[in-house]
Amino acid sequence: MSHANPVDVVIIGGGVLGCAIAERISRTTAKVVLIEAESDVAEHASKGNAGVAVSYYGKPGSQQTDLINASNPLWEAITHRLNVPYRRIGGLMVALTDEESQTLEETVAEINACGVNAQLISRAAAINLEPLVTPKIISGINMPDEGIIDPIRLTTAYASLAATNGTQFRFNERVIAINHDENGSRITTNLGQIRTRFIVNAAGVQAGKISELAGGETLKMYPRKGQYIVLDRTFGQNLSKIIFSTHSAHTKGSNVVPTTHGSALLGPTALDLQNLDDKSTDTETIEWILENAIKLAPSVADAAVIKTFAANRPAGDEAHRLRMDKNISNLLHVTDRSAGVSISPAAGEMVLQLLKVAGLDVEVSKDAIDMLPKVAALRTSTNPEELIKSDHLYGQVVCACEHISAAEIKASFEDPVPATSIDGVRKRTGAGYGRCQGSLCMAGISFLTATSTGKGPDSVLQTSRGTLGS
Amino acid sequence: MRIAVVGAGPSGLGCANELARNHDVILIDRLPVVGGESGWRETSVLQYASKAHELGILFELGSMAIRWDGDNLLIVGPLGTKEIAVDHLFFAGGVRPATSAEIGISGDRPAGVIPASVALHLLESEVQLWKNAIVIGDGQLAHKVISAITHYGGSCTNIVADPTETNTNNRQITNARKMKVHGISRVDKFECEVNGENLQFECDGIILAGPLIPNRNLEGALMDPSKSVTFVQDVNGSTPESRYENGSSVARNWIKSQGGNK
Repeated sequence: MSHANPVDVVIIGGGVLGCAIAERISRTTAKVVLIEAESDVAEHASKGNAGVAVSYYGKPGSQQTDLINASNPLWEAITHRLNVPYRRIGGLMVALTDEESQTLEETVAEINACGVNAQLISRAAAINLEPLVTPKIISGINMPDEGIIDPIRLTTAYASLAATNGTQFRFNERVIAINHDENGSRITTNLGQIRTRFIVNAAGVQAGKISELAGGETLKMYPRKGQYIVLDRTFGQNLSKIIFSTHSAHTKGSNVVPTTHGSALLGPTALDLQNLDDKSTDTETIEWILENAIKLAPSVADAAVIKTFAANRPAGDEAHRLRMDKNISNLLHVTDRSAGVSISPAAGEMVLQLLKVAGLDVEVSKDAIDMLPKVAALRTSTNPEELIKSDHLYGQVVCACEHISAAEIKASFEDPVPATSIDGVRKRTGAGYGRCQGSLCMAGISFLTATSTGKGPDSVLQTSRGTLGS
Repeated sequence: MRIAVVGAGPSGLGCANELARNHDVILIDRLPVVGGESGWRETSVLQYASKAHELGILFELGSMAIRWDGDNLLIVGPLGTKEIAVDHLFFAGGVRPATSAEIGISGDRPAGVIPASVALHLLESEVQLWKNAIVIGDGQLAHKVISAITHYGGSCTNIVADPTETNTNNRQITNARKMKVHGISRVDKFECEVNGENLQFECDGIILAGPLIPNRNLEGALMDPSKSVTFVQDVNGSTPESRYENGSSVARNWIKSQGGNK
């Protein structure tokens, strides 16, 4: 497929940053195309992270810190208009030794220097704040502006709103070559060519490859694997704060994080890799994560482990970058190793401003909408009777553990960026997140997905790339 | 007393029929038919159900019980919601195969790793999904999956706790430890350690048919039994008859614990 008329912006990468940028630019008069190598948005790092919208991550005065600070106060408003689960529950950083207690004094000074609300608190105050924290805690930092968010729903919601406003999403499309002339660039992919005036490189760990194809700067990128454990809701729902380890010189540590679904996540670990496709867990690391979490919150030992997984964050020689390429005037790079979710609202705005400076002449679109229609959820509904009256499919429970109804699954197929795999349904609705991990509902969801995508039960996609049958 | 039994498989029917001699019983199931995983056409199930009708048990089929607060049970179905006030709840929500995490399988998370309960539903539609599958587990679920796959000419490697008599040519592996899944898009290899030796098998599907775990999906009755909740989930039951008998026996014990029939 070749575009005779160039589009204004091509975004390469459908992770949280690519989709947030698409959503922001879609509310202007610019014509936007987003291309993604996988069959869905929110794969890779945007699918496998702890779901924390942080208040603090980087050094004071850095661009990353500025973006986090600009994003953090907006979360309630953004998640309201995007219909994404979010709660500003606050975090508690825990010192277990005198040495860690000293580190916390340095950390709290750094957090405050970032302009972020945080206080050193005593052992008693920490236990009062989060009764599940270990009694062995020596001191803590109260971080009231930390929040939990569903990072996958955030990404799919950015995409849905962008698509509603006219952004074209193209999946299973990989960039092969990028050429430039006086009118802009020509991107050659496995599916065709696209002419564009500007390119946003939001390809995560592949950003180095994209820059190389475009003749841009050398960006050194590599995957940093993190392994995680998911604990059952019977534990997670009693947890009221995010419990952070004390940062060490090398890592921000493995944490105990309640999720917006009610479960809890333990992790991540950090291991730099060569192989992009290595997303494997191993028993030793999983055991280490559990032991570490039990040190932070002893009742983790009694919780049921419902899932383990690994994902790769886009690490590299720069943990964060958002800037125009030094050589190619219409190429913008945006990558963030760990804070992609947390910077995404402000990153969208900043990318738009940088592209405007570089010559993108666009105005606010009068037709654009900035709010997604609400899809109610049966499990959290205060009035299920009303819900079922509005649509009887709400009374048809498909996922028994999470109480996800047929109405919610149907909505995921009818979304502007629809679910096209069993995993796509899970990512958008939560069906299959529970303690049985799809034992009861996966057959039904595979039939529904097969019907919706016009495939047979053998060739229906279970994951982004893999079919259910062989 | 007014009693709710959630789950109208053999366990729930056995429990409900026993209780109905002396109590008002309401029997609820998420499916529109009785029988649960045993199926609604099973002869014994039909007999249990007709007995339940004779005993005056109320049926709420096609409704899922989603919340229990100790006095009220909320059920939802396509026609709406109902709050049912009862004095005691028996949860007979069936069993499922253990998950990868519960078995302790590590490695990649590609497509093609499927719970046996799901695999059976798909295989019953006679689609030839896997040609060379690893089946983990040695219960009834495993046997059903293996026989469905061998029926159309596929082969299975069966990872079992104890070696069993087998009349097929399928390979059996015992004492497997450190099980690991390999594959990027789809599963292509299964790795394990047997008596200190590392074994690797090429495969195109891994079917989880491991130990049976009770389903827990009713909010308010998720984990431990309490004064108001009794669980009726027979992880060892092999036939509808044995599960029915187990359900009856759980109900009889509960009646005794209440000080006899009142």
